[in-house]
Amino acid sequence: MESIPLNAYLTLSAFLFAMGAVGVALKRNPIVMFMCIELMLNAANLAFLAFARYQPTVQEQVAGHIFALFVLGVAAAEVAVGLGIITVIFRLRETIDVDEVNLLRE
Amino acid sequence: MPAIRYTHGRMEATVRPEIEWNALLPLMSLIATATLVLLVEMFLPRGRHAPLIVIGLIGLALAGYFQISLWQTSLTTFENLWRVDTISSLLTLAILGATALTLLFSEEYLQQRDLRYGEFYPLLLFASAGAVIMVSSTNLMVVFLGLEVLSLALYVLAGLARYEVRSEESALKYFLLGAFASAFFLYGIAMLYGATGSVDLMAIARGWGNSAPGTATSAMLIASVALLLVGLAFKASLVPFHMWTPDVYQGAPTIATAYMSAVVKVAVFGVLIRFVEGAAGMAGLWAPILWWLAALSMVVGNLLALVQRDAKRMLAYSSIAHAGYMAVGLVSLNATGLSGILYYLVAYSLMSVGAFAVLTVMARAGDATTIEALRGLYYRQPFAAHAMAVLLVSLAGIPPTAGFWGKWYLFVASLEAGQVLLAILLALTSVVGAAYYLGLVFALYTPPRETVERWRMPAPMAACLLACVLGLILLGLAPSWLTAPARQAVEASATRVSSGLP
Amino acid sequence: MERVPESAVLWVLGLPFAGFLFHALLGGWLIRVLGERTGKWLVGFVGTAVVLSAFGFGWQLYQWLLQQAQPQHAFTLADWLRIGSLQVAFEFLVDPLSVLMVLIVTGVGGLIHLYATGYMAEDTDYARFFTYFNLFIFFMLVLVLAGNFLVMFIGWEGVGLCSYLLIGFFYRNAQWKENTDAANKAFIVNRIGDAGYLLAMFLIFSLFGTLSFVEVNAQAQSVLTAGSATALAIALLLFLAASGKSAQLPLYFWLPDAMAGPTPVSALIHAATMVTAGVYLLVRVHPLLLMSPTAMGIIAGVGAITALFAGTIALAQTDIKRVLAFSTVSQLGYMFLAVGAGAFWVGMFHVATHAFFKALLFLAAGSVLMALHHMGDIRQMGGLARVLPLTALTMAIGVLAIAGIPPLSGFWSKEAILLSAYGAQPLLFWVGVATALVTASYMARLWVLVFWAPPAHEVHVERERYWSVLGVLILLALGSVAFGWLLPGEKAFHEFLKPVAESASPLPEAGKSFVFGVALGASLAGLAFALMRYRRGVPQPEAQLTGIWGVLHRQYGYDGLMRKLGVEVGGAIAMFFTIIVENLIDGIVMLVGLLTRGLGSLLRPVQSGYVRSYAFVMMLGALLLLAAAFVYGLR
Repeated sequence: MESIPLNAYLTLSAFLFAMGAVGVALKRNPIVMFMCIELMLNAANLAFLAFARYQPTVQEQVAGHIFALFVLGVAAAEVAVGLGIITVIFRLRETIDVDEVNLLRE
Repeated sequence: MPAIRYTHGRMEATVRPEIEWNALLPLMSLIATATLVLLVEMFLPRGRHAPLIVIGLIGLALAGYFQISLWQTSLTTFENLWRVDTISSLLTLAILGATALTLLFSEEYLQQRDLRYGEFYPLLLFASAGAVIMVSSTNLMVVFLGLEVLSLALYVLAGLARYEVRSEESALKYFLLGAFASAFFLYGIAMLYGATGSVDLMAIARGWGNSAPGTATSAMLIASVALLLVGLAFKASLVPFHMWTPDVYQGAPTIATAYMSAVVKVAVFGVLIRFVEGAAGMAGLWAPILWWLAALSMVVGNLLALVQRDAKRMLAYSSIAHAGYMAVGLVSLNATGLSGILYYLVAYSLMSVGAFAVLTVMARAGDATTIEALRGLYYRQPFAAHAMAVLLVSLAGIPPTAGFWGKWYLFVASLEAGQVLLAILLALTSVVGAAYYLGLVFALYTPPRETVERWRMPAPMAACLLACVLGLILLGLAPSWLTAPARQAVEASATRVSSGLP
Repeated sequence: MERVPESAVLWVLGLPFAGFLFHALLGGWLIRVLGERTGKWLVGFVGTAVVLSAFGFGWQLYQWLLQQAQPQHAFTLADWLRIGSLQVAFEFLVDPLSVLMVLIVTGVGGLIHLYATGYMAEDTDYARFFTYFNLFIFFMLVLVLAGNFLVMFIGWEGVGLCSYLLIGFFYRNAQWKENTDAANKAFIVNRIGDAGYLLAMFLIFSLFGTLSFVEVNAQAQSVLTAGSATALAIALLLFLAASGKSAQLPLYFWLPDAMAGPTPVSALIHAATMVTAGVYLLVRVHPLLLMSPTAMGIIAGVGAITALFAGTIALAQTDIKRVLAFSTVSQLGYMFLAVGAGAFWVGMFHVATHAFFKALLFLAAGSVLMALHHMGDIRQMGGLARVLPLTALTMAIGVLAIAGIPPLSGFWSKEAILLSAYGAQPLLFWVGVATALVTASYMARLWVLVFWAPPAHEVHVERERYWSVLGVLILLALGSVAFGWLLPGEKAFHEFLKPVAESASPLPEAGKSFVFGVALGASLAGLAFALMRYRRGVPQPEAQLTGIWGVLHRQYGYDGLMRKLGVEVGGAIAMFFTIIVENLIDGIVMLVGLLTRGLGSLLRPVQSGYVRSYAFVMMLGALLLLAAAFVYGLR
C-alpha cells in the first residue's frame, strides 16, 4: 500500500480527466461524449479517494469517501436524463450524430 | 511523502449535531410541495393542471413565509453545511418569486403548444429546490448537489417539447455541455479537498494563508480556484463559456427559458458572491481573470445581440451581457459591488421572467419569436406590448426603472475600486445595448402588415406581467428598499468572514 | 431667506400629470359616454385648464423669486438612493432660469393646448392626443425644474418618448409608413445625443462625485483644469447631447421629418419647447463649458454654420411646415451661436422670443392647412389673405418678428446675438448677418406665396372657423410684438437672468450702432428681395426644383447621404459583426481543425461540428483560464 505515492494517483487522475475533456471535444457520438464526461467524474472520484487516504483526521477521511458516493449518485442521475434525451433525439431524427443536430446556430 | 494515519476503528465518540430545523423549513416545504404536486398529477386527468398550480403557489408562499420569518437571522447549522443569513434569504426569496411568476403564465403556453405534460410543475419546483440549496451553503459538495438537482431538472425542461427537434437539440446541447462544466467544477472541489481537507469555500482563504508559494498545496489551490471558476462561469454564461446559451434559450420552450434565465443566474451569482468572500485573499489571482470574463461578456453579448433577428435569441445574448455587468460587481471586490449584484439579480429576474413571459403569448402564432413576427404586437395584445416596453426600457437601463439603478450601482462600484476601464466599458456597452432593446420596442408598436385579431390575455399572465412591471418601477423609484438590506447583508457577511466565524 | 414654496412646484408638476392620468384613464370613455361634442369639450377643457393653471403656479414662483435676494433655491423632494458614495435625490432647482422655462412651457404650451382643442376637433383620437400632450408638458417641466443630471435625464427621455409618440400620431392614415418612419428616425437620432448625455453624466459623476447642478457648477473651476482634455470631453459630450435634442449639425435631419405629427405638436414640441432643451442644458451647466474655450469655439461655429445651412435650405422648401422646420433649425443655430460666444442669457432670450413667434408661425400655418384640407404645398397656394384675413395678419407679424424688424420681439434677441458674435469673432458675426438676410427672405417668400401672390389654380378653401384657433393666434401675435421691449424689456430680462446666466464678457457697446445698421439692412434687403421675386408666384426654374433650387431642396444631399449611411453602413456593420465576430470562434476551431488535419495520417482527421466545437472552445477557455491562474498565482 505504502509503495504507491499520492503523486501517482494524482497523475493518473489528471490523465483521466484530460482524456475525458479531449474526448468530449472530439467525439461525435453523444453516448461516447457522455462516457468521456463519466471519465472526468471518475477522475475526480479517484482524486477524492486518494486525498482521503492522506487526511489527518477520521472525519476528513470519511468526507472524501462520502463525496465519491455522492458523485456516483449524481452520475447515475445524469445517465438517466442523458440517455432519455438521446433516445428522444434518435426517435425524432433516426440519428444521434451531434454534427447533424445543428438547427440552432448563428 | 506525507505520513499516513489511516486509523481503522478509531472513531471518536459521535456527538449528535445540533440542528436548527427552522433554517431548513423553506427548503423542506419546497420539496414537500414538489413531491405533492408530483403525486397529485398522477391522479388528474390529462391536461388538467389548475390544481397543480394552486398547490405549487401555496407551497411557494409557505416557503416564502418561512424564509421571511428567518429574515435577519444569521446562523449555520448541520455541521456548517447549511447557512442562513440575509444574503441567502434575499436570494431564496428571489428564486421563490421567480418560480411563482413562472407558474402563473406557464399553463397558457402549455395549452397553446399542446404540451400537456403535467411533469412540468414538479420539475420546476425541484429545480427551485436545487437553486435554494445552492445559495444556502458554502460547502461546495452541497452546492454541487444543488447545482445538479437544478441542472438535471432543467435538462428535462429544455427538452419538454418532446416531438420537436429544436427543443431536443437544445436539451442535448445543454446536457452535454452542462455535464462537461459540472465535471470541471467537481474536479475543482477535489483539488480544494486535497489542498485543505475541507470543501468549504471559506477554507480557501485559510488554505492560501497556510500554504507557501510554490508548494503542491498552493498549486492545487490555484487549480481548484481556476476549475471552480470554469464551472461557475459556464452556468453564469460568461464568455468564453457562453456558447450554449443562445442555442439552449432559443430551442427550449419559452417557459423553461424564462425560468432558467432568472433562477440559474440568481443561484450561480449567489455562489459567486460567496466565492468572492471566501477567496478574497487570492483576489490577485482570479480578479484579473474575472476582469476579462466580464469585459468579454459585455462586449460579445451586446454586439451579438445587436445582429439577432430572433427576439428569444437576442434576449439570450443580452443575458450574457447582463452576466458580464454583474461580473463587474465581482471584480470590484467591495461592498458596493456585491450588494449591487444582489440588487441586479432581483431586478434582472423580474425583467427576464417578464420579457420571456411576453414572448410566450406568441405561442398562439406558431411560437414564432422573430422580431418580424413580434411586429405590431401592440395591435394584437396591447397590455403585453406595454408591459414589454417597460421591461425592455428597464433592460436597457433607462431611469426611472430598476434596470438603471442596477447598472449605476455596478458602475459606481467599479469606479470605487479604481476599475475605470471596466466602468467605461460598462457605460459604453449599455449604450449599445439600448439600441437593440429599443429597436424591439419599435417593432412592437409598428403597425402589422395585415389586419390582426385581438388576443385574450389570461388573468394569471396579466397578474405576472403586472407584478414584474410594478416591481421594476417600484424598485426604480425606491431602490433603497432593496439596496439597504443588500448592503447590510453583504457587510454583515464580510465581517463574519474576516473574523473567521463559520 | 424663505423656504421655497414647494407646494407651488408640486402643483406645477402635478397638474399636467393629473391631466395625463385623467385623459389616459377616462378620456376615451368620456367621449364615448357623453357623446362626441360634450366629451371632446370636457377633454379639451381639462387638458388646457391643467396647463394654464400650472402657468398660474409658475407665475406665483416667479413673483416669489423676484423678492428673494439669493437666486438659486434647490430643494429635495425625496431621497432616491443614498447608500455609501451613492447619493442621488429627487432634487429640484428653482432659479430664474428654470422659472423662465416654466413660464414659457406652461404659457405658450397652454395657448397651444387651447389651439389644439379646435385644430384636433375632428380627430377620432382626441383623447389620446391630449394624453400625450399633457404628458409631454409634465416631462418638459421635470426637465427644466430638475436639480441634478439624473432627474433632468428622466425629463430628457420622457420628452423624447412623447415626441416619438406624437410624431407617429397619425398611424391610421394613408401616410402611416412615412409617419412611423419619421418617428423612428427622430428617436434613433436622439439616441445618439442621449449616449452623449449618459457618458457626460457618468464622467461628471466620476470626477465630481455628485450630480447636482449647483454643486457641479460651483466646483467646476476647482475640479477641472481650464483647457484640459477632460474639460473638452465633458463639454463636447454635453454638446453632443444638446445637438441631438436641438437638431444641430450633424444631427439636425430628424427635425424636418418630424413635421409628420399634428401641427400643434410641431409648434409646441418641435419649435417652442423641447428642441430648446439643448440650449437650456448648456446654459444650465455653462460653468463646465467655460472650462474649455475650444469647446465654446466649436459650439459657436457649429451653431453659426447650422444657422446658415438650414436657412439656405429653407429657401427652396415647398411644404409650408418644412419651411418652418428648417427655420427652427436655423434659429436654434442662432441660440447655440450665442451660447458659444459666451452670451448665455442672450441664448435664453432668443429661446423666449422664438417661442412666441415660432409658435405663432406654426399655428398660423396650421390654420392655413385647416382651410386647405391639409394640402401643404406653397406652390399651389396664393391669395389666401382675402379668405383668411386674421391668419394672414397674425402671420405677417410673425414674419416681421423673425426677420428682426424693430420693435418686434425677434429684433431684440437677434440684435443681442449678433452683438455677442461681433464681440467674439467677426467671422461668426458675418455668418449671422448672412443668416439674417436669408431668414428674412425665406419668411417673406412663404408669406407672399401663401397670402398675396395670385393663386396657381383654384383651390377649395374653408373659412376660419374656430374661435380657439383665432384667439390663440391673436394672443401669440401680441406676445411676438411686445416681448423684448414692453412685456419685459431686454434690460429687465437681462437683470432677471443675470445671477444664473450672465455672459462671459459684457456685450460690446462700441459696435452697437454698426451691428444694428448691418443687421437691419440685411433683414430689409431679404424682405425686399422676396417681395420682388415672388409677388407673381414662383418663378419657373424654382417651381420645378431644378439647378441650385434642387440642390437646396434636397438639403445639399445631406439627408440622402445620411439615409444611405444609415442603411448601408448599418448593414455593413451588421455584416461585419455577423461574419467576423460570430464566426471568429468557429473560425478558430476550424483553423485548429485544419491544422490538425494537416498532420494528416498521424492523427485521425478532426471534423468541426457544433456541439463539439462548443465543447472545444470551453476546453480551450478552461486551459487558458488555468494557465492565467497559474501565471497570476505564482507571481
